[in-house]
Amino acid sequence: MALKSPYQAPLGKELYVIKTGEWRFQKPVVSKEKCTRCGICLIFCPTNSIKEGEASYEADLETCKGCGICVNECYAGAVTMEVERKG
Amino acid sequence: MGIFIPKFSANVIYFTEEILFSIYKKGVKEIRVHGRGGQGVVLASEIFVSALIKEGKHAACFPYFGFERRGAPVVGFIRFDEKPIRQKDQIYRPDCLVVMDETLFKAVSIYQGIKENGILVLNEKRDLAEITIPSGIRTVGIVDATRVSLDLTGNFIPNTAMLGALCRTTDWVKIHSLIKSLKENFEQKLLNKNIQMIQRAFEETKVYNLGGDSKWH
Amino acid sequence: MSPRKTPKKVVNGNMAAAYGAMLSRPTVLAAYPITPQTPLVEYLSRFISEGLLKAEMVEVESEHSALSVLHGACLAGGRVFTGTSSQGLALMYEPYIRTSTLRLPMVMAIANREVISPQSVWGGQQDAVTLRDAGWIQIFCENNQEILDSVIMGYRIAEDREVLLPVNICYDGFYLSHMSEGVEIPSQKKVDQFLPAFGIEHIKLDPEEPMSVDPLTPGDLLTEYRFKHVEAMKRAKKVIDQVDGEFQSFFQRGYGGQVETYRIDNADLLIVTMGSSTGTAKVAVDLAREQGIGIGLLKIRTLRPFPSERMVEAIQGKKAIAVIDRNVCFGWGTGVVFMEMKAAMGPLARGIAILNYIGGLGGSDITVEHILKIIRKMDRIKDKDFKQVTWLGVEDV
Repeated sequence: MALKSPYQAPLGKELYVIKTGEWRFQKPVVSKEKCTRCGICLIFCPTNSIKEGEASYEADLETCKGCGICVNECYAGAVTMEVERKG
Repeated sequence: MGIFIPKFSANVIYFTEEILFSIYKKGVKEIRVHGRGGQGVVLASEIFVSALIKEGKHAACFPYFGFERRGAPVVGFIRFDEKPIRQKDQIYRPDCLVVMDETLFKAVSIYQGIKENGILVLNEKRDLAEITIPSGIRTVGIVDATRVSLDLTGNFIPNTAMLGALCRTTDWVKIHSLIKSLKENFEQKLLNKNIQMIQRAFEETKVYNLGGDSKWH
Repeated sequence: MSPRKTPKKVVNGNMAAAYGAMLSRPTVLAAYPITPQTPLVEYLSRFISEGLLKAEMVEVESEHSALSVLHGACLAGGRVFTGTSSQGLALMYEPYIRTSTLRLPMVMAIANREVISPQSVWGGQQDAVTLRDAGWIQIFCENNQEILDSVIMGYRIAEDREVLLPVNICYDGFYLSHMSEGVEIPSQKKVDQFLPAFGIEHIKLDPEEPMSVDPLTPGDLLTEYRFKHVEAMKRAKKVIDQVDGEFQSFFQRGYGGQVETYRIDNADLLIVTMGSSTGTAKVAVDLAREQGIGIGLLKIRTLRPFPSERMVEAIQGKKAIAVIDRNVCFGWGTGVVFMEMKAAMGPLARGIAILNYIGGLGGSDITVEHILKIIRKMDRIKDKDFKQVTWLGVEDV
């Protein structure tokens, strides 16, 4: 039998970050004036894409999948979704 | 690698014997739908199955996904025939491939197993000339389902539009059967939008008949 | 194609089980969601809120509580239903073993999912087969129509005076639970005629007839109760076949009872399956028959009570048997159905080449190609020198 794994029990040793940035069709745009830097969007982001920027919290577009949860959770209404078309 | 891609042909070696191809001459049609979580692959498959059953055929579908997450690749398997569908395995030799999201080509080996003279239904805004079609495909149906969905609902849920395109490209089910199924699956608020989407996609789908060698004739 | 009388509805396996439960008129439900059974709980809640099902859904915090609630409800005279899967079933184990030994008639759906570890949400029969000695009747289904019909038949079997045992209706996770196909939903009126109202007599919580339920029991009495349980299981075999026959005459659909045989006449080869792989195997059998291979299929519907007599009937005249198992029997190194069949065959196994194919675990696929290769292997067996157990998808057939 050709075995694919060298281990006796199921485990993984490599870290592979899935390119969830490729999944989105719309991206979050944060208004620097409205952002209160409360960090709620960071807590709720399912892909851990929100990072603390200089003027406001921002989404890292490498991993942001465009789900819109940050828009839903933002108390200040500082985030809106903007459609981006990919070819 | 840690990533899970729906691997639906683990260690299957394709037979080249007559015995296998006789399955496919028996009238069962197999469609594989590729999309991402949240794009409506599962619902589209069910609506298609429902429409076929209304027309008196037998049909069955089921989904397969790795991660059950918005955005993750999802595959829908649809089979239909004049006789009851007994096969419960995944589809390795589809007659038709429906691709709802063009970004999938990078992540999943979509074309795996498609039959000679197969049919493609693509969600594309590009022209056929700009797309690489594997050899052996006979028919390609193209519609900008993203545009249809964004225009009519403001959301990227291309499933209904892709159903319209599938109907137009293959003619395997009548559009009014699909619309009847839509009525059973959507409430009034979304129903009208979905009927508009399916009709607009049906009209806008461009169907190309290739000579089986990827050249547009 | 003959015209259908009742229009078909497109439902998936979970919904078929929910319809079956709804038509059987249970009065108390309690369930906890777990993939791939979650939609079942959602559909049942929806039926209740829409008034289609007049029952109380008790919200519980775990599967252990779910079945414990149903113990009480059943003893109080209510027909009950629940469903679970894999780790949920494992969590339910404590009241699960008690349900059968207390002889409580009820029906539970199991959407078969692989037990973890390794971490998995996909289909595999390990969850139900691990509990095959807990004293329940276990029925495995091939398609959604069978799920719906088996739930209704399950109540008839469970509540039969000769049986009084709980029934599991098992169906493969994702391959059946999430598969949408056309299903005929029988009318409530017809089901009411087939399935009489529930009334528990043999053990109950009733102020009019007070009794202590399950008191501390000495060994000799305990032995007697075990014996009665075993006898009930034996009687269940006949009841299962009988109920199937009655269902056939009521609804024009039958499943053969304990087993279903497919094209076994004039066959010297036999494939044995349990669950959804049966449908795929039937297609392979038809193809092989076209090539002139004498092959038939035996579908095991009831794992418990094991259908020894009918299985022995089906293997008459066979020279090679291939058992496809979607589960593992640790300790024997084979699949469960293989091990049970060999045990039931006893000395009849001499002279027959019996092969075991373990596959479809953790959601992997059992394909028509796999089965055609298995058939070809069986057809070419010359002597007794063959590999007994092959792992599909990992080894070559």
